[in-house]
Amino acid sequence: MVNKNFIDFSVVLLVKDKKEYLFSFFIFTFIVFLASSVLFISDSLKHDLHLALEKQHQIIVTNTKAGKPALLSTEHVDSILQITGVDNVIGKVDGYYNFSQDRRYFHIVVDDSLDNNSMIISSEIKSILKKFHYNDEFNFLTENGIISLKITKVMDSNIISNDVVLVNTDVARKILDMYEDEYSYLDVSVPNNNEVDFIALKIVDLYPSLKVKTKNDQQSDYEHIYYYKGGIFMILYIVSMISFFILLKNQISSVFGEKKREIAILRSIGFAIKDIIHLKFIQNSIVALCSYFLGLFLAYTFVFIFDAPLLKNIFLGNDFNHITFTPSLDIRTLFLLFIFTVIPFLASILLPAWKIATEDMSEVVK
Amino acid sequence: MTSKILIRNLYKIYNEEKENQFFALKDINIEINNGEIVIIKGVSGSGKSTLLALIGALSKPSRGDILVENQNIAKLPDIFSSQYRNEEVGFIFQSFNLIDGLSVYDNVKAPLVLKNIKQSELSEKVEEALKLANISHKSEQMVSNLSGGEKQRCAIARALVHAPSVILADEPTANLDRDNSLLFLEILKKFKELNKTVIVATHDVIFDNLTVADKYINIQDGVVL
Repeated sequence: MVNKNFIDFSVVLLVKDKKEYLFSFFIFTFIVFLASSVLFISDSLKHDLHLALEKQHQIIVTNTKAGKPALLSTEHVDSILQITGVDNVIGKVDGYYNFSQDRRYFHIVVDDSLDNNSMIISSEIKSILKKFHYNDEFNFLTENGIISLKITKVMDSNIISNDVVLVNTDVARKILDMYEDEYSYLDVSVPNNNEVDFIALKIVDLYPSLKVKTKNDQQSDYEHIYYYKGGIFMILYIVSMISFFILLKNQISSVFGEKKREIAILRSIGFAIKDIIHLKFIQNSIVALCSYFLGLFLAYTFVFIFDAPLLKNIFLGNDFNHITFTPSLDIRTLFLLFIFTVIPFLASILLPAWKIATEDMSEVVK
Repeated sequence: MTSKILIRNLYKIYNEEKENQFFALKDINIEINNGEIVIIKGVSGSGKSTLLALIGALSKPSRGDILVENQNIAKLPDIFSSQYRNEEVGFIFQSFNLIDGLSVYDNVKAPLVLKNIKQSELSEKVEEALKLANISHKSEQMVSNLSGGEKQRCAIARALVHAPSVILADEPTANLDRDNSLLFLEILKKFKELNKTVIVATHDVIFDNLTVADKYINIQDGVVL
């Protein structure tokens, strides 16, 4: 059992070699920071996407004509409502407004709590409008004339709401040039989850031109959004891995040379092999744990307080300048990160220390 | 407590059964009584340091026995041989073997950190050893800032701090000037007063014909003459 004097002595030796340990500390902190920043961002995005998905019904139906997106009618609503097992079908108005001055599309989403003169926009849209001197209101240019709306509220941008403009159904129809009986998509409610796939097939049987997506399909779609980021993830992980190998090499070489003599001295005054292992374990655990938690703290601050400048652009491109990452921590991921960083870090010092401690020390301390 | 040391048919062979096999020690038989001061003389490479390392359980013999108070330390597993070094043996090396970057106090307390004793008791023992080695006034100094003689005294304090029964000194005056070498001889007298068993491996003529020495052992080519 390790006693307090032993721990104190381990810390004294650690402080003595602070310059050598500082290198390991900074590299390790950087690796944890980089890896956990990537994990925090992807966890946050997934969290927001899944949250948005949860609010949707089990089936989303869209229409196509000649393979291109088309609107749905009341007839579609009524027919689908007749299918056994369907509880409700809600026609939704939703679409994109082309803001040609900035070559950007605004996602028009319905919120019927708003009146005919007002709208809510995301902070990203707010910054775009500000560039064109639209401060309190904005004019939508449509084929039927100008629709002028007051900005009543600015909401935080996240992966879902980044390009969103909320207006009521009537205004949305006017902006998107849709008639009363036209819908962008249908939200189909199915009380029995086991029947979702079956009903989806029935809808396609009924209207072969309709596109039917279940919640599971949408979840796959969301996950696919990040597959193309795989290359970026890979590069970041390769950077982390290379840094980590440099760190391990530094760790291993730190046990040789002068440290070998130090181990020999300690052995000569009665330190057993297990005591040398304990000593190195205490010292490197302090370094590894401090680095790990500092790295996590810095990554958390960087992603959730400063909204990950630079990394955000790598992940999401330049269209998401005002996005806010929703704090989301996956303990399993952090535990995995701990296992894949702290354990090799400790092993890289303990194994060579053990090997040296088992050698004949008499020549070293002569 | 003091220890009687009995060495029987001791061999240390490097690269055993290989082409470059080398006998560092051959059939050594020595008896050292409690509280004796023994000087092992021999030229460089004669095997005296190897013998000291074996008595201090720093190294394992190829064959033979080393009995310290009837306990065969040649056959002890690491955990017990380390315990033996920590409780019964104090080393004084030619190159002092202090840990650079630590203070005199921290170097001297090192053997005690393995013991589960109170901080106050630890401090008391360290202070006592520093006083005995006449280095108390430098206790807060870094060992890298000490002179050769001061480093030697720091090493002596570290060798005494855990009250060992056996002191092993390997060429203790090799890195000292004449004044400090003479001082070491005075310290040998102190060891005698403390009834420590002291074994000094040296080729320094200053140790010739010492009145304080109980026994002289001459080694040449790994064999006791």
